[in-house]
Amino acid sequence: MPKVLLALLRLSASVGALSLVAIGLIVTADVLIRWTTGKPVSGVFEVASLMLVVAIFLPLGFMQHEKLHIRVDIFSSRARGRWAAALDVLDAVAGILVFGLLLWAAASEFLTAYRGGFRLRGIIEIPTALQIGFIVFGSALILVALGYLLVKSLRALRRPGTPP
Amino acid sequence: MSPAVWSLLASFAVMLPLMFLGVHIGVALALGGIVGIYAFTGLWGPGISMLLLQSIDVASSYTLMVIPLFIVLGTLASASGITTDLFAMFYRWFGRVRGGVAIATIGTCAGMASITGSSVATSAAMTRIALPELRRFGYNERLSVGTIANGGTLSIMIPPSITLVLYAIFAEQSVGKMLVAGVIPGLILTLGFIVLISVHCNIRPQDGPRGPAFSWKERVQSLPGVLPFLFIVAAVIVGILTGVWTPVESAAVAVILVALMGFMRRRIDFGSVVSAAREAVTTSASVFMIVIGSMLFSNFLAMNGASADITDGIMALQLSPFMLYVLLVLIYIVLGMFMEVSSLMALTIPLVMPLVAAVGWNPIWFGVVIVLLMELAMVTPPVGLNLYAVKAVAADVSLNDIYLGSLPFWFVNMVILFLFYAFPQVTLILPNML
Repeated sequence: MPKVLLALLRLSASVGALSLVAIGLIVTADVLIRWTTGKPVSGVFEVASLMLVVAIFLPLGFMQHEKLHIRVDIFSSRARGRWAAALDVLDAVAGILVFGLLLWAAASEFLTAYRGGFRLRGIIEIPTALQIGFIVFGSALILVALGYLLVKSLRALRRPGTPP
Repeated sequence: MSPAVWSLLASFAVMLPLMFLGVHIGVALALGGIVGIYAFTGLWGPGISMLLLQSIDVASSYTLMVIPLFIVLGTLASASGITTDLFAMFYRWFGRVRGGVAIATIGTCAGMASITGSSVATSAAMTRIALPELRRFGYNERLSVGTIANGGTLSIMIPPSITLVLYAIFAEQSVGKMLVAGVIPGLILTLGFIVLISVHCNIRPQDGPRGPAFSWKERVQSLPGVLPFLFIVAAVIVGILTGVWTPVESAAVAVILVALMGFMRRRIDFGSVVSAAREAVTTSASVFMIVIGSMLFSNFLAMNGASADITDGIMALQLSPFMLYVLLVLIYIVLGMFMEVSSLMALTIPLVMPLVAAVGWNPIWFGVVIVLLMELAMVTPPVGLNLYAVKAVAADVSLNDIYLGSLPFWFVNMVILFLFYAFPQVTLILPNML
């Protein structure tokens, strides 16, 4: 994978990680303030929920690139050469289909939410487009990783002399 | 063929081959759901809209926040040396009795289980820490690796357990109740494993010789090292049980406590916190995709009413509740041989829950049973992940030894599984207090 893309996937995963650390800090601060003052901090629920979207969707591309996704590996762990490449092609195509559909649906929803200025109801109102925007960005990142996997495994599949 | 049955078959025809050919479980479940909805309604739109809707709902779910927090908690606890301190304490207190080092291993696994939800991580960590000690004292190799592989499974029963959280989500139960429901069964399992080791080593003393003797002073000196561990357990379990905070809050506070203790003891730095968080978010991203796929698939099942038909079909067989229980146990054991825990739960829970409701079983009790079955799946070849976790760290041990070493523990699990059927109230004492 080109270094720039790999760096982007890594950076996104790190932003997701920092978002998780921030969730831990915000929720703990809320607990402490609630104990000391008897009042909860407004908007913790909404902000933490938004940060969870960041923590889950931004690392998707890195997860796919590192092949950390959970799968049944009865066959894939035993497959070698072209068989392994064929299974990777299947994995990539199925992933591209699902995340492509998600990107398409989310992008259209993002535009609607952005144009309409929709906001999530809560103690503090967060723009819906922001939440969906992270889903769009995360889906695009995993599509990049899946596209790379597809090209790589198709090349391995075509390579002459690769044992089946 | 009715549309309900036809769409269910179409869904499985897409989902199962993809799943077994190694496609991401979440992707296979989502595709199965979308195809099923299309086969039922003749439209692609509802399935695709549901994919987006579930992605938004699941990824911004406050309840599901416990998953990445519990994962980062386990990683940080391990990095901050809590596991090593626990083993040192158990080793000094129990090492002298027959099978004592193996008992110390189980005790440490149970302790580790109460701060991490990952059984593979526990098994891998304990292979590194305990196996050299077990070998040093000439323990039987099969007993040693069986102890470690099965001790690791305690992590999915004793809270904070990601498996318990996933069950609660899939079965639409309270996460807090489900988490505390695992405490007593987890302790019973720990006790069962300890009894097994003691009986084994008293019948065959050469398999588990006595370890070194420690003075009372040395034993007492090992206790301060486990105080941080006790703080965390109190933060997670007692906090939820007493209603001081929610599961999410307990997880967040525990993460911050472990990080602070690690900083104070100079065992971790900010870099290790970020690294643990990155590991947690990549793992969680994968788990969340499974939850999204499973929710989509559940929506499809609810839409076509097939799970109600399946329930009616099984109820028409007029099996006694006990026979039904045996049937479910057998099905889960067979499926557990081939499927990984989260995928097995994501696929089966939406189908099984209507049956549980029809028989009148308590869903919290059933959750404990399911998680116990998942423990069995973790040590059942050929897919049992814990067996491979031990093998990955101890490359010189044969898989055959790990399988055979796990077998006696597997039977202990089975005995306890049927004890829970006979005495279901054991699993419900703590949840009923909430």
